[in-house]
Amino acid sequence: MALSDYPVTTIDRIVEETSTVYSLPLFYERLNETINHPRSSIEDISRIITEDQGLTARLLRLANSPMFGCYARVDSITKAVTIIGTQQLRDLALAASVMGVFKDIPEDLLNMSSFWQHSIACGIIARSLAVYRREANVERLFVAGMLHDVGQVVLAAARPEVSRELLETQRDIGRLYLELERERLDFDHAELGGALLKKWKIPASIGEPVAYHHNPGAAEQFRLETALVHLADIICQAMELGQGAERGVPPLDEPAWERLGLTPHMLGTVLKQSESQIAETFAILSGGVDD
Amino acid sequence: MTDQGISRSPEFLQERVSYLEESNQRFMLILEMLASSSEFQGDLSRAKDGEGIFKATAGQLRRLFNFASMGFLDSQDDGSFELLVADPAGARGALQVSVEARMMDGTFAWALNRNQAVLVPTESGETLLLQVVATQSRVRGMFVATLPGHLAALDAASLNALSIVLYTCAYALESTVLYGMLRDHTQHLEERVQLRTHDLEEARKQAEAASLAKSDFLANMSHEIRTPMNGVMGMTELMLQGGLTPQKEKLYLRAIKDSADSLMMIVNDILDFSKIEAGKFTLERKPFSPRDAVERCLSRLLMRAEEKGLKVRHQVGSAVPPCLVGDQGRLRQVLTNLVGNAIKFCPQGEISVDVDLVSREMDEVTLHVCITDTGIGIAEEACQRIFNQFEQADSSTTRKYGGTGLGLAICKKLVGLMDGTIWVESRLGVGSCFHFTARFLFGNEDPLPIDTDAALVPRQLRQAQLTILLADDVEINRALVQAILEPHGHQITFAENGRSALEAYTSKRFDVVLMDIQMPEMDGLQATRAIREYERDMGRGAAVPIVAMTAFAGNEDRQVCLDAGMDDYLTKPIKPGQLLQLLNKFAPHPAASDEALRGGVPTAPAPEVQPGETDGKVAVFAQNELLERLGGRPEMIPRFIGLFCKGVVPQMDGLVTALKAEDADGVRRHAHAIKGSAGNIAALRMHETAAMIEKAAKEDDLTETVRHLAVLQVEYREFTEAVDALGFVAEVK
Repeated sequence: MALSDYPVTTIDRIVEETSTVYSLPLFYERLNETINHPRSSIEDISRIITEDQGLTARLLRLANSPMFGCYARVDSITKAVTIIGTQQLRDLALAASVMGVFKDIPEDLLNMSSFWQHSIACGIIARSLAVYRREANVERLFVAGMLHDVGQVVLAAARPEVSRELLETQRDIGRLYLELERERLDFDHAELGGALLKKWKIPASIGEPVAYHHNPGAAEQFRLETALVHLADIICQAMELGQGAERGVPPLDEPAWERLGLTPHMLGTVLKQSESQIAETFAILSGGVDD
Repeated sequence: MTDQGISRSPEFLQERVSYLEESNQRFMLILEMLASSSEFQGDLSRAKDGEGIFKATAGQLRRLFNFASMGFLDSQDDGSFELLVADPAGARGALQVSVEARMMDGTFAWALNRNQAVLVPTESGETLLLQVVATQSRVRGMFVATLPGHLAALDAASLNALSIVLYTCAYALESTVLYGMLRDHTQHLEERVQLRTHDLEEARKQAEAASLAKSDFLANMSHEIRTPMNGVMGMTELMLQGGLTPQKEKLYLRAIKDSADSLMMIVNDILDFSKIEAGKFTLERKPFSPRDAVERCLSRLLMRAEEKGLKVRHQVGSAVPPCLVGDQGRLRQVLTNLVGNAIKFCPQGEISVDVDLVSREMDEVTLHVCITDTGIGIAEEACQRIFNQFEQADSSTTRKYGGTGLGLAICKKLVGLMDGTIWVESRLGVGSCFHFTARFLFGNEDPLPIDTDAALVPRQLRQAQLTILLADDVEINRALVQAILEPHGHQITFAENGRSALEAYTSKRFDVVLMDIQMPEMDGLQATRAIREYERDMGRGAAVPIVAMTAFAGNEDRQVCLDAGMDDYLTKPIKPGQLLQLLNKFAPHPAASDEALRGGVPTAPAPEVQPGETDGKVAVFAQNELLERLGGRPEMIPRFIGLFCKGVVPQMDGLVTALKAEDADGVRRHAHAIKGSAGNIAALRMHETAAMIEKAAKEDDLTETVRHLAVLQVEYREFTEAVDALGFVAEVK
């Protein structure tokens, strides 16, 4: 099949096609409005979440997981809201429901279990690095990490034949999937994922790090968050924590590394803390998908 | 969205509109608050401490939040948190209780790590908000606030605004702490600079005062030395002009002696003082009688007091022990100085000396000595100063009363060495009372009634009669020593070199050996080593004291002698006093009868004028010096001159021969012998010239020796002429 025979492949086109199939969970928009409302109470916020039993169970398990290391048992969403915070809970809720959104991806293109393992590992490491830096609202980094490669899934769903071709080329000539994407499509999975999140009206503090995690210099508003996801992704690739479409280790962006002001020594500490959290968090989030 | 909107009821739409309006208002409020942050920054920069910063922060937050109460907990160095301030102040107690409950259940620690607001319902039905106040580098504190309602929530935008304000607050706190540290540091620095400046100023003043005192001292000293020096020079000049009656001459000589004595005193003062200053001063520990010491000391000053018509009275308290152990010489020095001063500054009236026991603890006895006079007195402000070195009560004192200004400084240091103190009470025009205390050890034995000062005066020596071996190759030297020692009843055996000295030593027991160093066949050092070896071989218990007599005068020479096994060292020309004193040191038993000594030594005759010119040069023949060496017996002079001439002529011939052969060592040996003989006979010019030849020869330099030899020969002729002119006919045996 000649290349010209493929349907037109632009970011806008793919996002347009995909957003009708893969839409944001319904509760997300309501939750967002409620927590932004000056008159809302904790009860109002809790009520929206508890309408989804599966989500509630996953959130509570998450709140009690080692990732939070919370001091007390979180046995209700009300308590989760008070302890974790409203915006943070919203971000976690997104993370806890997004795995259920992308379904029916051909197994031979992407192993979704391995894909989400990689994504969760990236989210946890990005969050740990942010905690280490005493950043506020660290949950958005967990979500950004979880969603950073969502463009790969979108491409596999929307253009399975292009996806397959890229994967085969990567296997044959051993080049970075990322570079092959750029050559073949003129964009990469990061930009594609970012465009989808924008379409979903996900805040830019999450969307921009996803869109530029392979090109951190291009981030305009959330450079630090972008740099954190960029580094977390490279760490996961190098440590082979789960796997998406990419088989190699993408190059580290020097200015991004410098922006973080981290030392190689402390990377070991953060990684050690994060590793134990990855499996459990994956179990919580994937376990709930089928509920 | 649009499809959904259409399907919804007007009520729903109404609700949407009011929601959006309300949100919009809220956002505007937040933006206004943030926009007014310049005012907030101003408040922060005016705040001086954590409390001020919290008040500014609370003021800013009140624009946006409906907090029922707010509080700020300060992070302490030990990791704890303390409620620094509450707003309103009445809420303090309630806030404290809520915070403590949150500390107990772990929420507080959780909030510390969250870096965002944590909202928890409280038992009292409110909602407590906790948010850490931290910069990137460290936690500065915790912001706490209460919201009405059990499950109150804050909208996301407000929470973000709260974060912004608290972040600013954290940096303001950090700046204040750093600024406070800086201010403390600067203040501390300023204090130190002030202190240091003050110290330096003090030091400068002291240094200036000391320098002034030193200059005054030098001026005084120069005056003090010049005055007797003028006396010596003037009187000498007059006597050299000649034509004086014997009475006049005696008067002048008396004046010269007085001047010389006072010069000696000054020199001794300076030496004592520098010795003490250098820490080289040690005290003797010998038993003595304090009563005796005071009496002796006063008896010497009595004459001066009587001359001025002053009475001197003394009293030693009955509690003062009869015998003490310590340095009575130094005690007497202090006493002499103070009483001497009293006499000096007392125009009439009396001086009294009182000695009392202050305390006796175990073996330690402290005495208090008080010297009262009816003199001119000392101004109050000078009472401390006069004990400083180089100072007197006022500079006019020096001109009127003389003195070096060292006396009291020496007293103070000596008293200090005796663990005592010295002070003065005085009233101008009424008199002074000098006090000092001194510590001694309690002595059990009866103190020996030795007058130690007497040992310095040969004529009063109480000496045992000793058997002495004298080794010297030069006949005149032997004769001279004999002349000095025989009047004291010592028995002398002569040896002409080291070998015969050794032979003599092995055949007889001697109390002392006097050993010349440079002798033919076996020199003094070799002989000494041989004697020491012999003593070891024979197992003789006590080694005989061997005293070197040599014209070598350096310290190394002294060490060479001691290394060879000698005990002491005398430099030529021999001074009778020194020799006798030294022998006294080695005498096995002190004290013989006074009578024997006094009878043996006649008094010196009136000295005569020196012949020949003395214009800056040394005398061809110093008759008086020889006379002193001969114990003041002019009748012995001809014999010694004869011996000298007999000995020196062959030495001078030997010198010529050695010079012709360019034998530097030979030249040196002959010159050395001539130097020694000439020194002993007081042929001072020859002594000098021979010393020059010796020195040059020692350095292997014979270039000037021919000229020096000619000079030496001329000087020998001049010597014989001078001796002839004086009427001494050399006796040649």
